[in-house]
Formats: sequence, structure tokens, C-alpha cells
Amino acid sequence: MAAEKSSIKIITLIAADGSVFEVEPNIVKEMKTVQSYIDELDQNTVSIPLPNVFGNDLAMIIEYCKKHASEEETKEAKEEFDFEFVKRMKSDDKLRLLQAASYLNMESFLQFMAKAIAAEIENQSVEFVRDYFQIESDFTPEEEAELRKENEWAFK
Amino acid sequence: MDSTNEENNKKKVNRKYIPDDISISILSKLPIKSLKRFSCVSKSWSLFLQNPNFISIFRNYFLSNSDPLDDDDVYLVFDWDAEQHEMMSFLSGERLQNVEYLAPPTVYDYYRFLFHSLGTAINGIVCIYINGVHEKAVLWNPTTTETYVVPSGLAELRQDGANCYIFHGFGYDPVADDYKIIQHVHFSLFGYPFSIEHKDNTFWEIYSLRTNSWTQLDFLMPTRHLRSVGTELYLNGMCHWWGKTPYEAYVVSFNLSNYEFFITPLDMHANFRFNLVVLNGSLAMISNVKNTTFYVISILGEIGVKESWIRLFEVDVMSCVNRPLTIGYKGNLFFLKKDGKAACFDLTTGVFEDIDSHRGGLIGQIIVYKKNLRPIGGINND
Repeated sequence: MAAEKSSIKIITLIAADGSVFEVEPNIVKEMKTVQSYIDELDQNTVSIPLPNVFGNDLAMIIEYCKKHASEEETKEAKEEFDFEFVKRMKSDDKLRLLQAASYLNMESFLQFMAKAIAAEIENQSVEFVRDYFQIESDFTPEEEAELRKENEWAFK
Repeated sequence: MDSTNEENNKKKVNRKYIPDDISISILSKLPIKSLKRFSCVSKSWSLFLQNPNFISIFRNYFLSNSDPLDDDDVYLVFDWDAEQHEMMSFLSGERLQNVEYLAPPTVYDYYRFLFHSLGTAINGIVCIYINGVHEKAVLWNPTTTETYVVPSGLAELRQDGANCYIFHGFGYDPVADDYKIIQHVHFSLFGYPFSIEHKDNTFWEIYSLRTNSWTQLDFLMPTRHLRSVGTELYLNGMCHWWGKTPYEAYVVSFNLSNYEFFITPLDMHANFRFNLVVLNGSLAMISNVKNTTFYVISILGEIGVKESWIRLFEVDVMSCVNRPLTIGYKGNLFFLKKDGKAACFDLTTGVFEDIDSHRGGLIGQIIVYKKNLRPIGGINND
């Protein structure tokens, strides 16, 4: 069994828009959803459809995984990469990648994206956050006014 | 073709349905102030702070988000040996098994009194004094063994009454790049604190290492509770101590740069016992209902705001515990046991264990210490 697994050379990931990515097994190690597929299948080549992740996003996730799986890269180089990785993303990208991370069950990437989003919304206004997450307030104006008054210090 | 694809993609990932666990993973990484502010975003967000699952994730992240330790991170321990002599040591290692004995500073000629560190160590320097016996305070760097004797305060130049002096804090003023000590002075025929304070018999004074002199402050602020010795602390340019009235307990925070002070009431009844501590860079309070083994640890979101206390931990420890000593690295909560030895409760794992490495002394105080070779400095440093 173990010998068969190690004989898998290439994993093929198929994104929601049909785009295809061929990656080495060590790249998908962190994607638990993908890993459980591989573990179930008893084949040398594996092709996995990921209907909830789009090609652009999957490309970015794979780029991230490649960098972090590399043993040649220093810790500093990885941190530098993380910084630039987040910097070039829009808010929408971050949120989509976070949802993809959740679907792929990638714990550390999920925490990384959640941290990036937290940094972006920290100290922002309630309106900014509603807009960011497209949340509509379900408070009555009176309820909201009351709650804002209760937490007045947090708005200074 | 591309643009329609984009639009289709957008429709499929509908951001309106962000599941709670994803929201929680983001919100648990926010500071308390933003968290409280965003409770106004929606009804479900307003409930997170009452959700035990959320609190658990929040505090795990809070604890994990600490700097990695290096060899210079140790504990500075003040205790007694079997002959009741003052002993000081550095403890380090996973189970505090490494002991490095320190020679007490030679400025005191007797060692039968227990030294206290006034608050926390700053850049390797501690301010030590003998509680109850008003002697000189000494700045001491145990890494280099350098000492610096602080001159007497202003009141000692006067001879018109029985003076009580209570040190309240040792800290660093980042604006003036200066170390400072804050002290309360009270003249009394009957002894502190039983006579009523008024401007004629009490004042505050502050020492500056840079000018090597004390200056009287022209205002009064609440003094610390008599049982708060060893729980005062310095954090981010401010000295903090706790005080109470019969009805209310509070934290006093004194800014060493502009001499402003703030009072933050606690969200608990004054009948509790309190310990001020620093937990991963936040001001925190350990509270305990008298005569129980139940401890609550709360962190403060904003100085001066009672509503910004967040209860993070509720801990029930063994009945052998006398009182908490401090919170150390990695969320380790140290207790003094009734037998005078120390024990450690790991807030991450919930494991409670004795610190058996020690030589059997009675622990008086244990503080987080980072070794530092920097000289104490000051203009009169000879």
C-alpha cells in the first residue's frame, strides 16, 4: 500500500472553470480534502476535480504551497514571500482564497489568510466591514444605536 | 468570453454566505477594541463574544501569538534559603530545571529581609527594595551585577512627622529615554493608611534617573491596596497598580511621560483578591474569590474602560494553592503553594505541576526576565 502511494508521481487538479494543474504529491500535502481523495484511490495517477475553487485562485494556492514546501527556501525568504503574496491581493481575492482554504481543509493557509483579512479590517468602521463581507445589518436602527452606545469606547 | 466567465465565477462564490467558522477564524485575530466595535455589524456577530467556542479560539490564538523564547529569557526568582537568607536566582529550561545563583547586590548589609522587585524588569534592570522597611531603592542589573543606589525622596529631608513611603512603580519613559520611580508619601501620627489623606499630609513624587532627582507632583491619585505588593507592573510607558474601596476595585495606570493617570474599574466585586499581570503583551488581571480555588483571568482592551475587560480563562486549581505569583512565558501561570513552594499551571494544556527543581526555598517573587548587558546609565553613573 505504502509503495503504491509513493509511486504516484503527478496529481492533476481540475478547477471549477476547467483549468488543469499538474503538481507533485508534496505540494498537496496540506490540502487535506485532496489528500483524502488520494488516500482513497488506489491508482498511480490521480485526477481530482475541485468544483469550488477557480483556476486563478488555485494557481495562487499552488504557488503558496510550492514556496512553503520547498526545503531550499529560508524562513526569511518564506516570510518575504508571504508579505508580497498578501500585498498584491485585493480584498475580494483574500476572502475567496480563505473560502477555498476552508473547502480544501488547509489549516495553516486558512489561518494565514484569516490573519491577513483581520489585519485589513482592524480599526476600520462597521460600515467598511459590512461592505467587505457584504453583510446586511439585521438590527433595527434603535437596536443598533443602543449597541453602539453600549460599546461607545470602541468607536473612539 | 472572459468577462462572462468572471461574472459567473462571482455568482458562484456568493460572499453573502460566509459561514460562522470562517468569520470566527478572522474575528479571533482582532484586538478587543475592533472586536467590540464589530459586534455592531450584525446580530450573529454581536453574539460571538458570548460564544464559548469563539472565546476558546480567541484565547488559543492569543496565547499562541507570542515571541519565540531564546536563551536570554529566564525567570528571576527571589526566595529564602533554609537559614532564612535572601536568595536570588535565574531559572530556565522547559521545567525550570536550570538554576543560576545570583549574588544579591552588596549595597544592603543585611539579608534577613525579603527583597521585592518593584514591578517588572525593563531592559534587564530591576528596581529592588525591602518591603515594610523603608530603605533605599536600588536599580540592579542581575546580568552584569551593576547596581545604582537611588537617592532618598524629598520627604526624608523633612523631620516634622512620621512618614510613610510607598513605592508604586518603576518604569521607563520612552519619550525622555529615562527610567523613573513613582512613590507616595504620607505624613501621619498614626501610621499609614488610617488617617485621612488631604493635600497637607500627602503627596506623590517621581524619580528620574537621568536627572538623578525626585520631583513632587502637584496632584493626588489613588494609592495601591496594601496587599498588592509584588503585583504592580510596568507596561508600554505606564506603571499600573490596583487599589480598592469597600465597594469597588480598580486599576490605576500612570503615564510616565506626561504624568496623566487613568482609573479602570474592575468588572468584579471588591470582595475578590486580585493580581495584575502581563499576558502576552496585554494588561491582565487574575481574580479569585476569597477562600476558593477558582481563578478568573481577564484582559483589558482599553485603559480607563471598564467594559473592555474580557474574561479569557476560568481556572479551578488545587486547594494546595495559596496565591498566584505571576504569568510567565507561553501562558504559564505560577502559583505559590501553601507549603511555600511554587507550582505552574499551563493555560494552553491545563496541566498543573509542581516546580520541583528548586532547592527547597520559599518563593517570594518570580518575574519574567530577559538578560541584557546594557549599563544602567544615568548622568551620575560612576
